[in-house]
Amino acid sequence: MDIVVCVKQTPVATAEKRLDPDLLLDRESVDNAINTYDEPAIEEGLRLLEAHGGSITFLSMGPDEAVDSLRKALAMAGDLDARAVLISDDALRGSDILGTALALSAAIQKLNPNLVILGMRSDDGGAGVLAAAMAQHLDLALLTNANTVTIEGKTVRSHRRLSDGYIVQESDLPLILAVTDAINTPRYPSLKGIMGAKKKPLQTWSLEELAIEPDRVGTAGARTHVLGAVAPPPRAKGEVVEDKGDAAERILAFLAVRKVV
Amino acid sequence: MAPTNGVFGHLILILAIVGALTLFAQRVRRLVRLVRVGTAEDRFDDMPGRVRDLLLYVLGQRRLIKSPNRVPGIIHALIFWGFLIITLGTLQLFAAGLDHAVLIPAVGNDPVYMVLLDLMIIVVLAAVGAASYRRIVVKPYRLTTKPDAWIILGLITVLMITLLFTEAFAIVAYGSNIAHWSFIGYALSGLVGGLSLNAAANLYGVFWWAHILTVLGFLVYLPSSKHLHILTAAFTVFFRPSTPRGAMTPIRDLENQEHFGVGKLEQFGWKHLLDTFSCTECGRCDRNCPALLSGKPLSPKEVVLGIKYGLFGEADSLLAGKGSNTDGAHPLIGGRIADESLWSCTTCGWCVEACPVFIEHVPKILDMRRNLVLEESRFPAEIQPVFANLEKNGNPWQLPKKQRGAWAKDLDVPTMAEIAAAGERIDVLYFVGCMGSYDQRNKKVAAAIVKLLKAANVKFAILAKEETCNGDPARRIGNEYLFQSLAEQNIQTLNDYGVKKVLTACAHCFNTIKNEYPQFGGTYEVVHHTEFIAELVAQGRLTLDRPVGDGTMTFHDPCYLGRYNGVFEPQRDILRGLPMANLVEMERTKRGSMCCGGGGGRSFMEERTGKRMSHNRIEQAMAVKPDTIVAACPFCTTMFEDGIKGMNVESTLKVRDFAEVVADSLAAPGPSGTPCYTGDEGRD
Repeated sequence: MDIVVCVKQTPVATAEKRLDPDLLLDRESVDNAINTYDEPAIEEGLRLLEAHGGSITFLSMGPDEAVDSLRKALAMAGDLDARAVLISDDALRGSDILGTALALSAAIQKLNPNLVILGMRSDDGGAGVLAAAMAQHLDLALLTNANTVTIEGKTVRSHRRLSDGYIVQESDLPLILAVTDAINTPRYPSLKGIMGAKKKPLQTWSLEELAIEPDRVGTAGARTHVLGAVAPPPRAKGEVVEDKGDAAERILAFLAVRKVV
Repeated sequence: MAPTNGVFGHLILILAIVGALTLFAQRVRRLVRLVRVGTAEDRFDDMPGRVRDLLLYVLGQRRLIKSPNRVPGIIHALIFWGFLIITLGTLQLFAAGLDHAVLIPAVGNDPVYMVLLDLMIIVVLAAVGAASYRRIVVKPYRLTTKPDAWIILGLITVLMITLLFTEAFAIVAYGSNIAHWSFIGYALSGLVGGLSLNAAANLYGVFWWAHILTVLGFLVYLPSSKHLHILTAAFTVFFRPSTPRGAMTPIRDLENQEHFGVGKLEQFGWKHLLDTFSCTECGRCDRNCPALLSGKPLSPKEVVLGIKYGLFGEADSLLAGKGSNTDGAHPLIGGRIADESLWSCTTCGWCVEACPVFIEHVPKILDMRRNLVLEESRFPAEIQPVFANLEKNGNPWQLPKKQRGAWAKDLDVPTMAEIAAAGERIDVLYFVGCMGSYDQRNKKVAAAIVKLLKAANVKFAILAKEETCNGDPARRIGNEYLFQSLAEQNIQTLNDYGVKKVLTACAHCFNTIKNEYPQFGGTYEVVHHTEFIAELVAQGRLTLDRPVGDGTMTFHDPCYLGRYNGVFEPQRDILRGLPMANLVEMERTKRGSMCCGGGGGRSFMEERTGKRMSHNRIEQAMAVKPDTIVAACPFCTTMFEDGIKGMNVESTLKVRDFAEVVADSLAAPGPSGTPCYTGDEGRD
């Protein structure tokens, strides 16, 4: 198996996410970590690797700091055959989904894996459509919302999670897999893994090496634009109802006013 | 005088001695080689302290004759001291066997010694009788009686009896003008006086040889029995750690280590292997183990013995340099010692405190945890988010770093950043800790401390969002890498600000910053809030006039404040001195205080078997009928709050921190004008 897992570095879940004056996410003044939805993707890649052999590449598009997240992924890989690639270029700043999909897809074509794995969405952007855009570029089948994955020979079978159950989907390699947040429990890297990660191969590719024109990505090439951003209003204080025998009526009245009942 | 007459007699004796000594030496040599299989450790510092402890704890039998288990301890001490005296007589016997004229000064034919000898023989026999009674009738839980124990008691009895009869028959056969000083032997000789001189002389010879051969046989038997402790105990005491008990050994140069912690027998430090030779299976370690007593699969004694049996069982392979578990069928962790045993430990330190021969149980457990975490990545699932949170957020929860100082928002508390910017100085830095900063219940304790500090006009500051977890839970669970990362962050911050004195309200922060931060360049004067408040009162800077609303109080000694760092009295002096205060002591108190169950990272782990450790401790508290348990550590407070709710005793018992109790006793409202705490504020 030749697996590529896409990894994004995002602000930690507890960070106060802020937009800078350009209306771009401020990644400087916060602590960054692996996108929480990518951790199960990494784990699934490692499990499939352990079951079927082969090698794995962690691919990320981001600023130089994103190397930390790639090293963390490599640490999780432990002794397995793993490497990492970072696509980094000033011209990529401000890329929308389409620009990101373009860059990642170009890199994947260069890497030529038979399986690409992504998480459900990112902590910061949260669009959830990157995998679909990439499937378009790469002309590959896409199995989304995968809650379980099995591979037999060339056939990949997944349970696609729905709100009220799941449907079973199948397709042959090569394909793209987008896994849910519940598919597995990501492993904690051993210290040996963490130390070993520093020595694993990590390349940085620029746009030139991917033969992508700068005007097709970044703010320059974005087909969506952020026009403005407004913080949500502070949460109104709730009402605490103490039961003096009339609590049921008061709660009912509360719900009725809001047309819930 | 001796029955070895002529060349033949002397020859037999010499052969017996040489034979026994040779076998003994071979076995000892093997043991020494086994110890040397362990990794290098420097245990040769602090010589004066080591010698002092040898006298106090071996000669003085100090840990044995302290409560609990004082009476059995005295029994043992008597056997020990008795044997010290008796051994001199045995040497005299051997010496005279080789050369009849030899008389060891102050021993051979010395009346005082003769009286002492017979006295000690009786004392030892009585003690053996008492020991047998304990094993047959009393059968305390901690004592596991194996055949080895009976062999030893039996051999001791045989030694005493043969000695007495040797004396008796010698007196009958040969008589002497000083015979009466061996007063028991003398009395015994009266009972057998009717024999002919010839018969008496023969019986003298029989019992003499019986005694000599039993001594030599015992010597050869020694290395394969738990009686080996008579040789090794002095060494395990002598080589006890010279560093503070609360300081784990750092793993230096983490980046370049091949192995982390201990996953195989040969990875233990040599002293840890030596420890296992001194275990007499007395079970004092088990007696107050909070895990064992609540039904967890952990017995400190069995951990030590697991290592010992491994060492002996795989000795051939280890001594040949092939290492342990060569067939993969006997892994140390997950085989000889279960994973769950290791995770059940709260690192309370009772076992280490109680062991009369200074075996270090907790460091062995922590060494093995390090292997599980750093090498195997094998630890309870609920810990993974704790590690991730500590790494990303600087606290064990999903709470933002930036909010760490939010608890003090309305309390007018300066941050170090503000102090430094204004070019001012502080008396003390209040290191709040994760609990005080984020936990609803413990934020109230932090607020109480602020109130006290302001009332005493102490110039202090907090680090707020520049503070990160002190790292203790990470280190105790075994994640040395994460701990070092957290510690180095804090030390960098504290050193950059030139902080000299640190105040904490958490026993774990206290222990780690005081005893472990110096390992990484962070050396400060560290005080716990109990000590500091007591200091302020003594200096007259705090007046505690208002009557206490907490009713009858009992103080629970946190492990890392009391047992690990010896702070017991300041808090009690203060509590006793409060108006209308009534302080009672639990049975297990001070050094014997039983852990709340929160240490060793366990407050972040599930308890899946047995009873909740906190419930056990709460029951111990309730036995002395308090209205309030006074705690001095946020983990204890949290464990007790949960325990009290779980046991449904909220209406009769509450838990309050020392600072909260004292703050309520302040003579005037806090300077910020906030109303004083009443008794109801204690619970959330």
